[in-house]
Amino acid sequence: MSISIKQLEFSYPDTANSVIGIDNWALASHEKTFIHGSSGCGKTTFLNILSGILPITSGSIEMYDHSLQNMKPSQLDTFRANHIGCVFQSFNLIPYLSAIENIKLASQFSKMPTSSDAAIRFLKQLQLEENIWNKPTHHLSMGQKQRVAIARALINQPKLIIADEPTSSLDEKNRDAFLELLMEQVSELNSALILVSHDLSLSQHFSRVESFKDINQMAGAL
Amino acid sequence: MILTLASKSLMNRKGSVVLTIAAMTVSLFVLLAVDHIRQQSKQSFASTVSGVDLIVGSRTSSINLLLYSVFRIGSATANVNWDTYQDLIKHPKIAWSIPISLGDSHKGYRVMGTTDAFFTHFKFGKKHPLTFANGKPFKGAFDVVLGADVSKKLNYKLNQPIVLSHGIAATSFVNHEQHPFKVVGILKPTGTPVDQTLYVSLQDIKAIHANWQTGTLTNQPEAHEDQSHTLTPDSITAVMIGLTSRMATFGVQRHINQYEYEPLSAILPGVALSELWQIMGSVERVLELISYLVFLASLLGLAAMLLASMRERHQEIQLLRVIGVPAWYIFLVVELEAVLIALLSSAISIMALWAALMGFQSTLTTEFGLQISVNVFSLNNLAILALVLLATAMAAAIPSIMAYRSATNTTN
Repeated sequence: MSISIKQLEFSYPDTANSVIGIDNWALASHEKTFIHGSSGCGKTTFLNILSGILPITSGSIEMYDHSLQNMKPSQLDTFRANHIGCVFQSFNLIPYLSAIENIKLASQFSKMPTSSDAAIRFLKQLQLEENIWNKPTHHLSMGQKQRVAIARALINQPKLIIADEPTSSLDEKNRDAFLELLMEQVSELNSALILVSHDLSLSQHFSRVESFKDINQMAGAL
Repeated sequence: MILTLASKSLMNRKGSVVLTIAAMTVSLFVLLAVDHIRQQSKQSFASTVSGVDLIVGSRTSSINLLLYSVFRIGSATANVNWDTYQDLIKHPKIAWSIPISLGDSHKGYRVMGTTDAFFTHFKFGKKHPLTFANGKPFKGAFDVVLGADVSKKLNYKLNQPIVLSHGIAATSFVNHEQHPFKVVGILKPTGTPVDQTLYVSLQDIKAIHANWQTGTLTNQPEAHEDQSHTLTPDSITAVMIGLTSRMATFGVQRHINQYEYEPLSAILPGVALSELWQIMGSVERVLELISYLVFLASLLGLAAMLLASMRERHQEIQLLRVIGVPAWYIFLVVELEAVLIALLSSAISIMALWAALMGFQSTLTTEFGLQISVNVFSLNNLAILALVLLATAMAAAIPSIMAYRSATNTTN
């Protein structure tokens, strides 16, 4: 198992009640899972914990031979840069930087900073036309932005890709195209994927489908 | 990359950034201008006269004597008798003396009656002697030597005939038309009031006033040219004195101050210059204080602008965190943005100062006798700019810490 969570509890610093409680959850290294849950059920909090942005209250997260709960914030930053790629519903890119700059910025803090060439290779794979490479990304359409977001998330060849409602701001046609691209790229990298969405129709792309309610024992508390 | 991030982030908020740069540029311009003019005028002041041990005039305050004898500002309340002068310079410790006689002008420039001694003994700056750009000292009757600015501004060449005016008003209706002078020499620029003065011999001053009484021409026979060189002046305005030894300064000063036949004042030019500077000093210190306060205000404006942007940038900072950007890096980005604004403002303000000095240099020289260098890249100015960058980084610490906290605080 590449990711394994045991007896995890998390509560926000200023509240007494735990919002996340996970006894046992694991993901294999090339596994793709679809986690379904309605909005506000703590999915995003869970993902923030997985990426090491939120420190857990108790329990353990073992991920690729690292124990997240024992790492210092600076180590977590480096770990995140090297091993985890994230795609969100929106605001995946710094709006005033170009697609190439966004991708290079993401690789800047990993073990292997990327050249513009590598960034361009990626953009080509994701079927993004040359004329948008150097435009500030706020000029791009939503579909284009999400595709650049895939490039940005995958540039460091992360072992785990976390996608949080990545298709919710796309129309149906773009959604399917996006998902296809994402799955294709993830398979190519042999990475693990956790995709979280309220949209059950996405589950058809996945072999493993679970409900966040079943993962989080504290779901009822919310 | 951090530079791209900071600069593009600034460009993304053009409106508020441009206004902040404008505010800071204005404040830096004031700060640099006040300091530059202060430094330059001090230097210009200190270098007006050197090598002169004592200046003697009719009894008056030291500053007044300095002002009219060296800076040609204001006028003497009374003159020194020629006989007194002749008697004084018999003192064994006096090596040389430059008698000066003021009171006439030419197109707003003062005319100074003096002797050859002026060209040989007067020194300015770091004991630089006067040198001629053209021609030579006055010799015959009605010869005139021009200061560098006079010749430049009025576009006078050698051998040009000019007419002096009675009195020192910029526009005079009473001219010494019977005695046109001829330009025989033009001095090299000195950066002191020397450049703004015309020089004639004492005898010529006497000659052109020969038939004048209380400011009007009387109908007496005119002095002839050949006569003029034998004329003896009745009185002079002041005397610059060089001593055989500086040790004798106070002895000679006391001797002159206690001269029994006429009330006189002898001053040490260096001391009087620093007294004068102290008077100006309090004014320029207030100016300096104000300019620093204006700068402080612009710094607070910068901090406020960055702070206000933090709210809209929360998402952006969160995103940077997600891609593994350390929190200290985000702190640095905000600091760098502030420093970039300060750098740009510094560059614009220093260029503006340079342009303004280029434009007003001649006005400052003619109106105030201030010789201001246009070299704004002095060590002092660079030190100020270094200080400005430091102060900016400190002022930006507040929004930067906010950014850092926004980065480490994920509870939103």
